[in-house]
Amino acid sequence: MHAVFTSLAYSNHWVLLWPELSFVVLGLLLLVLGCFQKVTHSGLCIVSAFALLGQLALVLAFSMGGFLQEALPAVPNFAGLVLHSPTGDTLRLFFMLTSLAISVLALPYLKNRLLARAEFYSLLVFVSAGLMLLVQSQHCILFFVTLEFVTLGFYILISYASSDVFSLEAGLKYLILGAFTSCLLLLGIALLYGLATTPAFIQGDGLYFADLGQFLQNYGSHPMAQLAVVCIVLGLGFKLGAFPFQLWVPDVYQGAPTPVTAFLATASKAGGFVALMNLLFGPFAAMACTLKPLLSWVAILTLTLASITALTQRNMKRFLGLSGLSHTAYLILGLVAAYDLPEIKTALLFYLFAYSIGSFLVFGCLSYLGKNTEDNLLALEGLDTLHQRSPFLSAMLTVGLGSLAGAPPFIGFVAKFFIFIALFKAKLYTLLIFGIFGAVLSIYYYFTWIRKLYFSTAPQDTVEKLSLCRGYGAYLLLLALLTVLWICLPLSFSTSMFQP
Amino acid sequence: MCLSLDKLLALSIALPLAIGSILLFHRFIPSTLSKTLAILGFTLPLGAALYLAWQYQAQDAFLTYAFYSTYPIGIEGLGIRLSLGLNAIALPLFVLTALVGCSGGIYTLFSKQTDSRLFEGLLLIIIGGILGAFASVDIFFMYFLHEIALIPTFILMGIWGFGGRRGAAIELTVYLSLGAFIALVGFIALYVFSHCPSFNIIDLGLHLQALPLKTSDQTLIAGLLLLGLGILVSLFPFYSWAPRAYTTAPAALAMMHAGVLKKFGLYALIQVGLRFIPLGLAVYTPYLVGLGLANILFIGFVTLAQRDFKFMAAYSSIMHMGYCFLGLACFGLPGLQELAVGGVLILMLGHGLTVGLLFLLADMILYRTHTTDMPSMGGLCQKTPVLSAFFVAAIFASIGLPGFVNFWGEFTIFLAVWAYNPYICALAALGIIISAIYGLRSIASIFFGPAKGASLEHFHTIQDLRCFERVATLLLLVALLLLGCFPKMLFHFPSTFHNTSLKPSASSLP
Repeated sequence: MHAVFTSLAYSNHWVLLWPELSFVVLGLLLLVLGCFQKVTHSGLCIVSAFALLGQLALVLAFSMGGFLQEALPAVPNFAGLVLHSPTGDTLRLFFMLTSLAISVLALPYLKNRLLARAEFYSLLVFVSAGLMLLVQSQHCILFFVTLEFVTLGFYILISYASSDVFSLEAGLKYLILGAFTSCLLLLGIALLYGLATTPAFIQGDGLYFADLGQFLQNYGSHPMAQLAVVCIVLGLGFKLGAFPFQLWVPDVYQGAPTPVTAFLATASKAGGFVALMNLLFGPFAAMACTLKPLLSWVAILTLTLASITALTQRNMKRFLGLSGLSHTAYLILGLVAAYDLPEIKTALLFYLFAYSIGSFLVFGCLSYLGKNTEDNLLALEGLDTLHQRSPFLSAMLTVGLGSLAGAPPFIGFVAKFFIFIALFKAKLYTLLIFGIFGAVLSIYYYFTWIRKLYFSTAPQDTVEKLSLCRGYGAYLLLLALLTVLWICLPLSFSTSMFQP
Repeated sequence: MCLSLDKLLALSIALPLAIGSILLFHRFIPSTLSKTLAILGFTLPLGAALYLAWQYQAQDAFLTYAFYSTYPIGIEGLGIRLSLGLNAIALPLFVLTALVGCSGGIYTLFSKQTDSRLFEGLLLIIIGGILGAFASVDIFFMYFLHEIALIPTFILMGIWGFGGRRGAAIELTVYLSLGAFIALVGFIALYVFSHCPSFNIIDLGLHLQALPLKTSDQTLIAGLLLLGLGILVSLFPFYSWAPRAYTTAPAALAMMHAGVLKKFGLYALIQVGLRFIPLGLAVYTPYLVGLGLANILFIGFVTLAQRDFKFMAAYSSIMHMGYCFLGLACFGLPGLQELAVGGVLILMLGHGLTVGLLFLLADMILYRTHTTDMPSMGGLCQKTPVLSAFFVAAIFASIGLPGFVNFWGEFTIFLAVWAYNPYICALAALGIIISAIYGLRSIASIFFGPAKGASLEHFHTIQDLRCFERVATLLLLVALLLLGCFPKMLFHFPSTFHNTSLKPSASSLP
């Protein structure tokens, strides 16, 4: 027993967790800083600056730290609770960049509302740390704890604008449905634990992914095991907004403050998706005959629902929520294809990346448009004559919406193209047909928005110009350039993809 | 020339794209500089294209693609590289794009109605994209660069279009996206079924020569490509987007769409379809022939019924695509391959120039009489003799009068169709009579006879063609005449590609 403990203790390499730890420390420092700053404009600026610079420094340190090497094998840590792998490191960088992007995005929103800023940024940073741990976890307890930590952070962030009725209502809806699905998830985990943890099946803790995988390989056809797996997958689908847990999406996206909506749309969705991917191709790899049909139906229904409901939306944030569900559907379609083509997993991460950039661009523009007004009432009519009021902002919105729609020459199209190739190669022709119709419909409803931007012209003298802060404009321009100049990105993952 | 020819090709594509993107930020550059940049952006690709065309004859005839260059980009693993090159099929269309683009651009630059740097920037992006699409040897980039035109078209149509533009813009975008996505699935199918690790046409050709595709695979791919690209080329019955789109679009956009972007579908069918899936396409020959005839006759009669000149031009462009599909369908016959495809190629070139010219002239007429309703105009030639002369020439070119390049295209296609089935050829030839009827009738209604209606209303303010209008029109008209009177310049291409590039991987002999 002593030897077991000693060996486990020596596996605690805290230094390998330095990104997550440094994010937590940054969050705590922000809280401390917030104590000493008054809630005035200049005080809040210092907090924002500290948050942004701190995250930027950590991102640079991480990307130069030499972790992102293909050749390194996966390193288990903390007695196998955490697995550090190259994919995991890529995702850590992704979440760090997401957090940085959201911090910049939050500036116009927070500037005009005297909300406590330190808590906002520290929550953002805590949640990002949680997400980084989530995608590396290999144990059900760590998995559940980090997932709930992220969800908890979001409960607070969504209701952050506490004087706004929409925000509070959105937080309550997210809380109720989130709590329900967490229970579902926990039920699944408990069922699996109950089934697996007997000495006849597993030597030791039945909550490690590897052990569960071994158990399910042998006994996966048992109805209780199948029920447990389905519960876990559906419970996790809540974060993605997958059917049948998609009802919260429009209301919560509308009510939450715009930067939090952006965070939900990108990081939370990415975290949930990668967690699902790790589960599906880790412990649940043997459950393909149950999960493949389930996921196909979920994807088709989500895509249909998303496309139909997004067609008639007039509120910007509700629209982005519902159209984001179609992206969830494409990701799940890719997961179904990944059963036959394991290489496509990197293409799905690329899709997440492309979707995130498009979302940041669109939400960035919305955050700016809604800075003075009630941002949960941002409607389609507010975009009228924007091309005269601010040509730059309408160009950025066009690029973002075009990328989300999957229109060439943007990065969103390339990501969808990879998924179409994968579906065809995996012979999933019905799903491909749904994918194509979804793509055409998404072009329709996204272009309706571009139409609103450009097609109405008011007389020149009645138009009041919007001026954009230069730094913020540079941030939007950088995102737009990333969308267009994807050709220059080193997409070296593709060298292993789709070999005939 | 200090610049190697393949770099010149790459530059001639990159330049309009770069200048177009710069012009999107026209608020930050002085206005004379932006105007100069716009002029350069429209004329330099034309110069480069003509120079490359002149140099092409000097190239080694055994090379499939001349001026070949490859630029590696990130997604190597899928076999996608930016490969540029011109062969005998691509070069005429490359020059066509540069010509129509330059003509439309010059017209836009100097006419006061649409004088906006944003317009020219977006137009340049469309031109650069389609130039790259024709010059691309990689199937992914061929598709991708063609689709770059999607968002600029939408914005151009929405801001500067004519009545009903909002609905027409979204209808055009959705319909063309549907066709494009179906064609994309066809290309993916070709890539997956061939098990070739590359999207490059040369690599696919070598791979498929060793290991041709099964007939069932070819049939599936051919069906998808015909459906998808057929929608893009307004094959019957997928043509309903075209009239509304072309009539509501501003002049330069209508010229680019009807004249150039429409040809992309046929180009892809020849370059990719006939090369790799001839057996598959041969299965659809009776349907193609039937639908092509429907284009000619059915749409021909619809054109006859049009009162508005722009609608007439739009429907006539759909009608002429019928000839191209008939030529394409006859590819399967032995010994007639280069005849049929050569005819289609020449007609594509001629039709592109003609329809561009017609839409340009329509806009000039619209500017003068503020209407395009033919019965309410008349006697315009009393005030605008030069415009009348150009109009008459354009209509005769579109009918297929010898002396213009359309004649050679239609004649060659009829030769091929006659060998397939003389009765079909007779029916197709009826199309010439139909186009003569509506063409001559339009000349008579608009230009001859007493001045009445709109012409009378604006009679005193109507002026003949201004300098830039003459330049824009002459660019297209001179090309039509020159190639029509000296077709040797074009016929060189079909015989070249018979030797080298257009070896089908399997014969479609029964």
